[in-house]
Amino acid sequence: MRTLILLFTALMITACSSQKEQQTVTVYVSEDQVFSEPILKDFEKETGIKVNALYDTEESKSTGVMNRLIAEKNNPRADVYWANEPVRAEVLRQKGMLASYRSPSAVGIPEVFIQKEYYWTGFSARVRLFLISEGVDRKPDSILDYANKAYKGNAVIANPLFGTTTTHIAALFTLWGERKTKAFLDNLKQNSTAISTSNGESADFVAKGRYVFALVDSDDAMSRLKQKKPVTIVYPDQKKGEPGVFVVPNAVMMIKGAPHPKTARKLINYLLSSKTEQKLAFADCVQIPLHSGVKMPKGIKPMDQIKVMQVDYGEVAQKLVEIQPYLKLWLEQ
Amino acid sequence: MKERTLFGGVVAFLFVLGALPLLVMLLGSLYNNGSFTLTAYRELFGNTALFQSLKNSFMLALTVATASTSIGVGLGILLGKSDLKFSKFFLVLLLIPLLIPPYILAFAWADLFGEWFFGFWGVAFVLFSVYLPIVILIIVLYLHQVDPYLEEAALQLSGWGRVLWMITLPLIRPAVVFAFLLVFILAFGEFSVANFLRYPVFSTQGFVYFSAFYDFKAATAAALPIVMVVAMVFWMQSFLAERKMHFIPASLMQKITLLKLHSPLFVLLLLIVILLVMTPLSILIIKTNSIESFLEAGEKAFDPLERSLLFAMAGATLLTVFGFLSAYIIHKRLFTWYRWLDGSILLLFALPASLFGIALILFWNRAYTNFIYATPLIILIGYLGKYLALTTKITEVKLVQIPRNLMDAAALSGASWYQILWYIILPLSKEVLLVGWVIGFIFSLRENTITMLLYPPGSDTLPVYIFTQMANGKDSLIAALCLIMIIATLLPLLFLGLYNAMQRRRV
Repeated sequence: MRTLILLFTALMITACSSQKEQQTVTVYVSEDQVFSEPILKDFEKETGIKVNALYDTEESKSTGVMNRLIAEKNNPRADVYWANEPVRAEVLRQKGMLASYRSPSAVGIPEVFIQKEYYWTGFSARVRLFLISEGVDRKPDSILDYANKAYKGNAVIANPLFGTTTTHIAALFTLWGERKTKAFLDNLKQNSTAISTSNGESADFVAKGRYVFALVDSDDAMSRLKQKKPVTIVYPDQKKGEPGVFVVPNAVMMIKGAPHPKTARKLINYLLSSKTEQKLAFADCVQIPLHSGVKMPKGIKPMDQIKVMQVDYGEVAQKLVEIQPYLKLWLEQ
Repeated sequence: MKERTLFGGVVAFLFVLGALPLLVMLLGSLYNNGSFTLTAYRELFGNTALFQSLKNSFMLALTVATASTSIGVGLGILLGKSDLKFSKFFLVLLLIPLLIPPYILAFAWADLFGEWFFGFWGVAFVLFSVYLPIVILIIVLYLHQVDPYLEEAALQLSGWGRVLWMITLPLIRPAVVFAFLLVFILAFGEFSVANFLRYPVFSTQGFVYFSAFYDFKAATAAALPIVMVVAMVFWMQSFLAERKMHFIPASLMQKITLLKLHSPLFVLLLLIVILLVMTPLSILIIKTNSIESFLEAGEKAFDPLERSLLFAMAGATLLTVFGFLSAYIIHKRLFTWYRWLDGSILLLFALPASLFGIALILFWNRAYTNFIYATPLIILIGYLGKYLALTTKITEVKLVQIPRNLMDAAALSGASWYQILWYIILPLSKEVLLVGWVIGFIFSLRENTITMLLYPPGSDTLPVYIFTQMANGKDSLIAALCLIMIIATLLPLLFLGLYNAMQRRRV
């Protein structure tokens, strides 16, 4: 029994021992770990600052970390939040949980992707595009094709309660207004559009030929193209009078009351640099740099060649919170 | 120190760790800007989809618990009480699905069967394969407690079939009821498999409130029906499970000689193992694809695995110690309100892990409790709260079987309560404590929901690491990580098995 007690004490001491004193920064990350971890490791190597990271999971649909940040509001543990989209950053800003920081690395990033008071800054973006089964005669080219009877029962979209699909729907609400967007969603449903659990699943369904097209994030689409699945991509709504593609940049922000503000600023500067954007462009997620002139792999268009949906992300965030009960009802009906 | 003082301290300690955070959260859901309100609850019960999902959860839990218990009891008897060759080897193999996070199994099976696997029966099958080992383990353990003289006497008049039905099964009835209820609660609260296989269950409602609405109050309200189910299960358990058991001498167990049935039963068991264990494992091995993937996974998994093992060992030790202490309080009915302790432990076990995790964050994340919240201690509290019911219940059934006259004799000879505890109860409970430790270790090692919510940044465990890799990570890497986790879980169990075998040989 004494041996057991000694063993347990040793275990507890080892398990709970604090790390040795060194410069650290704590970052909560909603970007997929496979893409974000190498960047943070490089930061560690280059600066000597130890990064304590906490990553989101697929199951929590990029909201687990958000919930934790909100729960920790009164005693923040995180210095920096690397969100995979700016709308959830806006939710945090509206809850008064962010500190303003104007990073010198943000110079060159279009203003639409920077919060006006510098509470968050966007970088390396995904775009919402169509993944289409190869061999389709008439390819859909507008989001309104979800309501087009030519594609009845042949389209799939991810659950609009989660992730970038929610954000996209909220953006449509701000752009089109309530009546038009609700009518579009009703038509989409009447057109027997399937609802998948995630964009990744939508992409898999199209890759397997189960559905003709799906609205997915560019990283989901590019990964299927890399896997040589029989699919092709289309940037929707690029014609005159059409709204353009919805862009979902990453967003980085400093948490109000961050325990390590100095190292937090260093990490934010690093993440917003062209160098980081280039790394993310050549990673499997193929994210599009927001700085111009950054090298990019073939197969994906740079931001200045895409017609981008012009939205105010702050407004989108407010709308996102407003429409949640409606979306839930819409889903259950 | 007086017995009641010491154990009162234990209860107070457990209350602060587990129940108080939930009470604080519950109160929070009833107040808005300082005034009392039932809005969160009214909104919840106005939701018709909720009742459908509640019905789905109930049917799913009932199906999984019925199937696992019926088949598990049969397999438990076959593996724990017959002369079947390689029974221990089969037992270890059948344990493997319990070690794999359930969503990984769902992922593997869906990959094999495709679309038609999605839905009620797919979820039920995966959960059945995950929870079957729990029933088998419980039955095998409690078969060792059946008095062999009773069976021996009955065998003079009848065959094994009738003896099993009339003697053995009634004697292990508390274990059967316990296994059924345990699987029912686990299946009722399970989220990841149903979510992956797109079957709407009640636990997803709470998840929706947490994830989409950031609404802790509504999520707390959504847990209310689970509390009702736990209360019902708790009532059933006290009604169905016999607490009084006979004295069991430490003699050898009566083994069933299978004779002509040996070969067909051996083949049947082999087929079950192939279906439930070898198939998903093969899918993982095939998906791993190459040695390079395995080596890459090994390199990436090293730190999270080290932490996983440390946390799981510390968690298992805490669970064993407090499981024993709680079982002692409940068994001896040290306090008039012992049922509250019993019910609270069961409630914590049944509550959605995400809800408990959030409650712990809200309660413990304060500047003056950083020594807990900012260290892995918070994870250990999470494990303790969530899985204390397992070790408590296992120990409790053993304590019931320790003969009262041994303790009375010791007391008459002048032994104090702690001398009785230290020199009689603890030595007689050694085996069950070891089993409790192993179960605590397995559950702590594979846990990811609480850990995911509570781990201090930079201290992720292997299941959390696998989970985060699932978002766009390579299939080969994820499969290799799962295999590493299975090996890592099996190795300490093998060492324990070897140690146990050596001890027995020495005896």
